[in-house]
Amino acid sequence: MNEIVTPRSRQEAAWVMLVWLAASLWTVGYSSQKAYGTNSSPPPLLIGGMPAWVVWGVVLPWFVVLAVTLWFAGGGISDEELGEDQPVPTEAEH
Amino acid sequence: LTAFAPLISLVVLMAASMLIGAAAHRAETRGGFIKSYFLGNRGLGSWSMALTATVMSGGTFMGFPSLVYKYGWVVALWIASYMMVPLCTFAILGKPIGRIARATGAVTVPELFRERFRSAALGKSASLILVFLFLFGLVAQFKGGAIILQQVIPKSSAVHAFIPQIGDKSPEFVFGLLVFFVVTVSYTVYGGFLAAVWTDVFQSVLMAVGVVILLPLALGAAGGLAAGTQAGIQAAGTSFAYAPGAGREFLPVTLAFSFFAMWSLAGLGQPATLVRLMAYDSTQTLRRATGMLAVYNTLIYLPLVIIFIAARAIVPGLEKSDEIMPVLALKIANPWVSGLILAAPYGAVMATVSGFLVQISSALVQDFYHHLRPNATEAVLARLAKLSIVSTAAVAALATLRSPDLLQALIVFTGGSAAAAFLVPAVMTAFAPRATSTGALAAMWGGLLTNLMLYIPGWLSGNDPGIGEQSKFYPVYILGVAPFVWATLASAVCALIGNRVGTPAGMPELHRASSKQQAL
Repeated sequence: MNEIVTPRSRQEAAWVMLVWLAASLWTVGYSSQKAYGTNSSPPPLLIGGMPAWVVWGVVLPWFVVLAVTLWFAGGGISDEELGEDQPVPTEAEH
Repeated sequence: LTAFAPLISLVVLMAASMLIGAAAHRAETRGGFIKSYFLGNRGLGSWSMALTATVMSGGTFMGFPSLVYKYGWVVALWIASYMMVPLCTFAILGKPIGRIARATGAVTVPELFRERFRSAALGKSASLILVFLFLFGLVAQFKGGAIILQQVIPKSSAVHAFIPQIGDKSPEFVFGLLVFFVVTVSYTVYGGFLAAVWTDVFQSVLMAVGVVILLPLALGAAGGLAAGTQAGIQAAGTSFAYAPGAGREFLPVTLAFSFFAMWSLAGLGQPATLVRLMAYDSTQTLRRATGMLAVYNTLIYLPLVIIFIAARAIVPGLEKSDEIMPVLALKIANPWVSGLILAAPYGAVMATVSGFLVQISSALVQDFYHHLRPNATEAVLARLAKLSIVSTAAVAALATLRSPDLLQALIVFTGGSAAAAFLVPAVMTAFAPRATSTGALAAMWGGLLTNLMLYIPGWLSGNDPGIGEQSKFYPVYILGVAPFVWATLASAVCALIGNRVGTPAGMPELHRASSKQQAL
């Protein structure tokens, strides 16, 4: 069957959107709890010179997503044939 | 000689770009003119895909550091969704767009839409929007290129003897614009799409080298990252270390979510990204590029945040935060290293302009002229392509001489508008076999017009909404959400309504190499 968009491609896209949702909930969700509404707060706890909320809310999810991305790049994205390149179309064909 | 180090670095960069253009020209000798000049014969490798498919421009190396220095740690949250860019860019649309482009023979983004939905009106709409938006983008980038060169030309130079002041533009600015025009147009005309892509790879590597050099220098000069954070807190209060940012509500939660969606998903709708997804050579390349871009983004963005937080301890109280990158580089690095670091944004601007010019040329020549005159010879198309690059660049350069200050806002506007117009149609192209050309057309115009409606009233009124980046011009943030989100939602609604009209064009058929061999 010469299906242009395979079920595997759809699955991969759906997984990426799930990762996107998880990353956005973690990053924006955590930061919204720990980094906002603190105008009169004392200076934050620093970890390695960074505010703790940056470490747990941005840097940590960043490296988790990096690991997931490298897994996708290592084989999570399946190799598929792209097909033969067809001639450049022209208006006259429509 | 060291006083001329930044200028010499730029001259070396320009010479290297010309050589890259010549190399690209030699590589384009195989295949027909259209497919090689506008698409590099669908032969992009991993490095080219990884380092050029996502939108990076001079802003990455100039505007972003300025935000970090000014608003503090909240900018790490503002840029956080770059963690998702490699997956979103390559793993969602990569394979479907690559396959559909091959199955239809499409060479340009408008052609992809036109062939997938079998609609000439859709193709012409896409061409029109692309040319319109890229022309605005070109003017802004030309200005950026001229400003960088203006900064490194010695003020006592002989430039004044030969170049006049034009309006409020100094002779150094005019000279910088002229040099930028000649160099960028020359190598783009000569090397086409591959020249644009290869110079982009070159500048991306230059940028990474600059960051790797700056990181230890900045941390050493600041006395550690904690010293930078403390200096920022002392100067701007504890808000420097918290959200929504120092001195202003730079990033309320609604905008934090908006930018998370925008940076990671808007790239899917950028014509510059889509055309690269049509041009890679295999899915192995796509996989490798995904991993390489993930590592590259990690090496660039997190260190840039660290460097310019540390800058608070090294260059305290800088009023024009836009200048923090060159000021910091000149302060902590020797002149030759700072010259190299300053060359990176110049290279980024050159690569962006080059890419825009090729896409405008492909829209004018392939999408308009070639479709009207299908029997035009390759020699005629080649001449027209090169002529359109020169004339488009000339129009943009002349407009730059009269450019008002709203150009920085226009850069954001053009990027957001392109995504608003093309994101939903691109997803429909890949994943919606029952979508109609009316649906795609409605999505394209609905997204673009919604974005326009949220920008124009803000510009006309000039009211500061009190959130987002401080600027001279602001869009309308309904419920505190960025225009891109509303425009994309409107585009999706228009698509759903439009899909009820007309007949689905259906997906094109994949032509397998293996089935062809069996038939033989």
